[in-house]
Amino acid sequence: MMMAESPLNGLSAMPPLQTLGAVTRAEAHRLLNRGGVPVPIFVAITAALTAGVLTMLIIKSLAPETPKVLTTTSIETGAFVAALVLSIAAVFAVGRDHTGQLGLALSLTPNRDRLFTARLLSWVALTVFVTVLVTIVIAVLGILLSEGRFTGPALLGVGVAVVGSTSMVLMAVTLAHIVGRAFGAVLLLVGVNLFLPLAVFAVGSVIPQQAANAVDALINVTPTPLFMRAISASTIDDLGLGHLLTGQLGLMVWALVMGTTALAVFRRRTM
Amino acid sequence: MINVDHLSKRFGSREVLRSVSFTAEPGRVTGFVGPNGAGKSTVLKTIAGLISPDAGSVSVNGTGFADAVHPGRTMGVFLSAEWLPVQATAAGILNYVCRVQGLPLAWGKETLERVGLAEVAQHRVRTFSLGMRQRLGIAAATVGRPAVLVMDEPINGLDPDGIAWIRSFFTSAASEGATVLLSSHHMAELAEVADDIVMIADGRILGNGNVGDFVSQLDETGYYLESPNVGSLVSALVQRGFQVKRERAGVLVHHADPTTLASVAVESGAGISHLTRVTRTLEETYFEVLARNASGETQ
Repeated sequence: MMMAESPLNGLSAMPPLQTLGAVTRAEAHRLLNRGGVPVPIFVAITAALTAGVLTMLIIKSLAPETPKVLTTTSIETGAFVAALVLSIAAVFAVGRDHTGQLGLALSLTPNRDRLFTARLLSWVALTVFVTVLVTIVIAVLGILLSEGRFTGPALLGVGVAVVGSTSMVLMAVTLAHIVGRAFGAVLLLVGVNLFLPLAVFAVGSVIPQQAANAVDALINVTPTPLFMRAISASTIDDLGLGHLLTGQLGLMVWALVMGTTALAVFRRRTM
Repeated sequence: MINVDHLSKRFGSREVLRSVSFTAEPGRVTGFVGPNGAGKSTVLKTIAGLISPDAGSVSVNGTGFADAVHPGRTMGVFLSAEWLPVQATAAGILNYVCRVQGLPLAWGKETLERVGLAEVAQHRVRTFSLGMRQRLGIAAATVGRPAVLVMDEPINGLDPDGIAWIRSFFTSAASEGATVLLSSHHMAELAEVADDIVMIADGRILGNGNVGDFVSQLDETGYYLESPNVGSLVSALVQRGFQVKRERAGVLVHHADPTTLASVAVESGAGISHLTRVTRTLEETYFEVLARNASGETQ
């Protein structure tokens, strides 16, 4: 069947030092290959493009006089759908790893900070790739439909979509690292991103006006509203750039806090 | 070399390891034995950096494994076939292992050939039998040609061919200077490959050292004699103060030297047709040490 062969054969060829780059590339390849998330990536791209194009067609038919909004809103829709699908995929994939793959990965990359960072960076790379692809395609279609106008707002839309989506997916990845189970992490993701704002909104509707203002402020700092704000290039004319930037900043703070918490949990995780 | 120094660990109120210390030397296969729940896996996971001890330390070739600059060359770890992602392919897993270590992907392919999985390289792990998963796990641990191997129950589910291969694999690795720490419940197999033995129960080390010394520690080497007239032989031995035990066509005597036994047999007229030295097997010693530990006897 097999020859008895020593594991020490070939010692003369010393491998390079293990680097963050090597581990990140390995993690990224793993995500793209069978056993990773190739299907969710395909779904994210397809669904995001479909949503973006549908939005474009709807706006064009209902409000043809707003070609600028047509482009930026379609980019926002595509980016939102892509980020949503990737977030769910990330939570499932990272949570699933905790029941197996993580033990193997830790035995190959015992420096936990390096492995954790590599896993985050691989998701960042994947999110940037998908979001750029989706938003660029939608932006090009929008620019073509507006006969070459509004290239600047479209590019701004692409840029903020990439940064905002990356923060959202990073939050999902870190959440899954904190929870350590796919199902629990999905529940928490849905809870934080959907039910938390709804619950706060519901509370706000039955309490006195002064308190309701505080509740509104609270809703605005939950991840989903922050994300909507962070990628809303279509609102710059009405609300200014500051509205968008505070959304980006808020999301980054969320990602930073969750990332720090996840790293602390990851360092202590027992397999 | 693996140096385990006074490891202690609690999970909640349960004390899993109690000041566990031992050394696995380079160029030797060290068998790590103990009953279920003894703390073997906890020790192996601590060596691999997957569990942090409450007290004590582990070093692999002089440093902590987490500080290894070439982790895959420093130590290969196989702790569970269940850790292989079932949705991935065998080739995908080996490619990941190679990329993480900065190794050429060809090394992964060669390793799959070496463990007999080349033909199913593109199959998903979920379609593999336990034996195939074991081989894949061993392949993943050894693709970096590590100087230290830590294996938990590597022969589980392997067919006789696979067991023979892995036996020669470990002895060959040790002969080239590798440190091999091998946990197994298969005492007979372990006796075939292990140079040293570390025995653990209830989270503490019960025995540790060369296999020969470990087996002879109970000092109960005996002799089995057969005679044409067993009855007369037994009477003569009892008369001379020996404690004897009838077994099949002969008699088993402890705490005696063979020359005296032969003399008694001849002088009594019973005669002697067979005389064999009987030593404990590793398995018998293991159970005896466990039994003595359970009854509170110290070694």
